[in-house]
Order: sequence, then C-alpha cells, then structure tokens
Amino acid sequence: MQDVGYPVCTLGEVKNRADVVIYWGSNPMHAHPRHMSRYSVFARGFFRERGREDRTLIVVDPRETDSAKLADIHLQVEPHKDYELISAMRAVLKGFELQTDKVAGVPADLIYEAVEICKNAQFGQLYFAMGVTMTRGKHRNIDNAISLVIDLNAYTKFGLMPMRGHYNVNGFNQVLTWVTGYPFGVDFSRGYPRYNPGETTANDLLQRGETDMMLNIASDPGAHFPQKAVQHMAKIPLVCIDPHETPTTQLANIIIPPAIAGVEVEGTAYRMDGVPIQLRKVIDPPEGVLPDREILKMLIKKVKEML
Amino acid sequence: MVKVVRNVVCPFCGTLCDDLEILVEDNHIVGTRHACRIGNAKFMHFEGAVRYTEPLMRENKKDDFKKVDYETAIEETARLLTEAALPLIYGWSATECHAHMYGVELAELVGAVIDNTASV
Ligand code: SF4
Repeated sequence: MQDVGYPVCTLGEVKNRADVVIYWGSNPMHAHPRHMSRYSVFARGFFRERGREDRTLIVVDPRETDSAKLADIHLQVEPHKDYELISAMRAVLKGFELQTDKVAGVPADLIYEAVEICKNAQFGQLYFAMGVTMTRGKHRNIDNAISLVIDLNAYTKFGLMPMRGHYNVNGFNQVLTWVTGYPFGVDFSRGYPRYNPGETTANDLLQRGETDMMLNIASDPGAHFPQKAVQHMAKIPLVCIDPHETPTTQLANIIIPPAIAGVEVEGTAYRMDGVPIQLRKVIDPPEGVLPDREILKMLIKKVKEML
Repeated sequence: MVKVVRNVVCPFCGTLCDDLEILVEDNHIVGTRHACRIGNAKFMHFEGAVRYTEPLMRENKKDDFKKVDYETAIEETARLLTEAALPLIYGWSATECHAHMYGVELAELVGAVIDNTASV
C-alpha cells in the first residue's frame, strides 16, 4: 500500500455519489452488517435517490456468500487467484483481448461485462477485505488492485478502501503515522523508528521466535495468528490487557483488565474512511477498573523508574 | 427507570455506526436500538463472555491465576518489558486513540516493536 499510494474518499461520498460498488473478498452482510445499508448499496444518497436501484453491485468472492447473493455480478474467483483476476481486468481495460474462456475460474464474458460497468461508472468504489492480503500474493494483491483503480481513474472517478474489521484499526495507524511516520510494524530497538513489513511485523517476529516478551492489548492474536506464532506466544512471558477472557488471555502470565472503550469510557476512534469519531461512555466500568490509557500511563511511570 | 442514551457510537466494526440508542437501567445496558446483530452483542455482552474485573497473575503458565492489585500487575509487567531483549507490543484495534498514544511512548521507552492487526 505504501509503495503505490491510493485514492480515498469518505463513506458519505460513496453514499451520495457511487453508482458502482465492488466488494472484493469481503462479506459485509456478515462482518459489517450495516455497511451496505448505511453507506453503500442500499442507502439513498443525494445523487442516488433511489438507493439500490441506482447502483450496480459487484462482489468478488470464491464463496456464494450472503453478500454475493445480493450482487448484480458475482465474480466467483478461484481461491488464491485474485492477482490473476485483477491482472485480467486491467488488461481488458487497456483494450487487450483475453486469450482464454476463463481466468481464475471466472468466464471471460463476465470479466468484459464487469470492466465495462466499471469503466462507465460515474463514481465507482472498490472495498477490499484484508482477507485478500492473506491469500497467495499477499500485499501484492492490494498493489495490483490499487493499480486497477488508478487505471480506472483514466475513465472515471474510482475510489478504494480497506474494510476494517475491528473498529479502530485505522485509528492506531493514524496515531503511529503521526508519531513515527509509519502506519504499523514499527521497531524502536535501535532507538529510532524502523519499518520493514515482513521483518518488523508481529506475526513474522513471533514465527521466527525473535521476540522474548509480548504485551498484547485489545486484540486476540491467539485466535487469529498462525499456529507457529501462537506456539511462540505460549513460550514467552505474555501480558494481556483485555476486558474479556480470550484464547490469548489463556496463554498469559499476567492479565490486566481495562474498562471497555466506547461503552465504559470515552475516547476517539477513526472510521474505516479515516473520519475521527468521538466514542461515548454509556455506563460506569466495574468498580476500580481502569481505562487502557490509565494502565499505560502507570506502566510508563514504572518503566521510567526502572530504566 | 430505563434511560435512553442517544447518538452512541458502536465500538465493534470499522463502520463505526454513530446512530445507536442504548437503553440503560441502574448502570446496566438492557437493550439497544439501530445496532446490528454483532453491535448489539458488544453492548449486551457476547454470550458466554467472561469479564475480568481484577488483575490476575501466575509465574508458570501451567499454574492457576492468582488475583493481584493493579500496582503489582503493572510493576511486574514493567519489569518484564525492561528486562526483555526485544519486547513486542501488539494489538490496539479495539481501543481508543489516547491509549495508542501512550502505547507508542511506552514502545519507544523500552525499545519494543509495536504493531497492530492491520499487518496480518
Ligand atoms: S452496528 Fe454493526 S455495522 Fe454498525 S459499527 Fe456496530 S457492528 Fe458495525
């Protein structure tokens, strides 16, 4: 993503303007249930008064998901062949003819049709799931998808946005970029920030056994990381700052419970399109339970005493 | 009496819906409006979820946890962080930005790698 940059817009722009919406590898009906109805496909927008009728929905997914069932065009790509499909679409867009009847399991006719729709869009939007980065090709898939969107911008306005799973993935990337210049995977071990995905990223560090202590906060890698990474987590001292029991806390040596942000404590979060939103406090936390930020402040103070 | 808190933001997925209404009675959430299935579950507590209300500690991962106070848990965590050759500070995607800010400061202090779920 950092190699090529990418065109962004807000969810509100998509709602008001988009007449073509693509979900690539994501199943919003399942993971982001109100995404389609509030911001993209079903929402009535300023220039899209009739909502769904004014929009064409394309879903790219190997599975026949609930979202795919709603699509006008479902490109049922074979697993791990996203890169091929994107390349074929870029080739068609550039005026080349496909020399086979199928690419990545998708009939050529359907690829021509989808490209034609995208090209003739007044305002198109591509949402891709981070799942696409997990299939073969990893972040190269995204680079290629970004290139597709850049190519489409020669014909029309087309935007792209990652579908963020957890609510404040984006917020962390914003804060870290603001402080260090890099969005994630920052290594401070030499005293200054270094960033090299694949080397300075958590999963790789764990799989190679290079870290000898882990502090996990507000996430559950025990449930989501590859087995080899989890095995290493089970070996080293592990501290979890998490309100609930998770597969990760079960591997921990220390569990520190925080108040739940956005329910028991206020704060700021960044929506997937980069719009900051103020979280609200609805109820009080259980007695004596501290917010994440207070726990971290105490940790900083203690660490300073020890150093 | 049930109180309705309006314009609540849903802290679950990246859609961050900001139009929720939460029904509160005696500091307990008794219902939600406008939230989807998973957003509702976040406020109502996921079924079977176990909530921690006190810090827990154990020396050996095979042992049972013992309850400790925040000071003890934090002191021990600080010791582990400062003694480690290369600590990893990871997660962050389900908490707010001020916590992130302090997290980055902590990572810089102890010479850690800091990362979040975006990189998986
Ligand atoms: S209500 Fe549903 S779609 Fe909206 S932020 Fe919460 S989980 Fe996401």
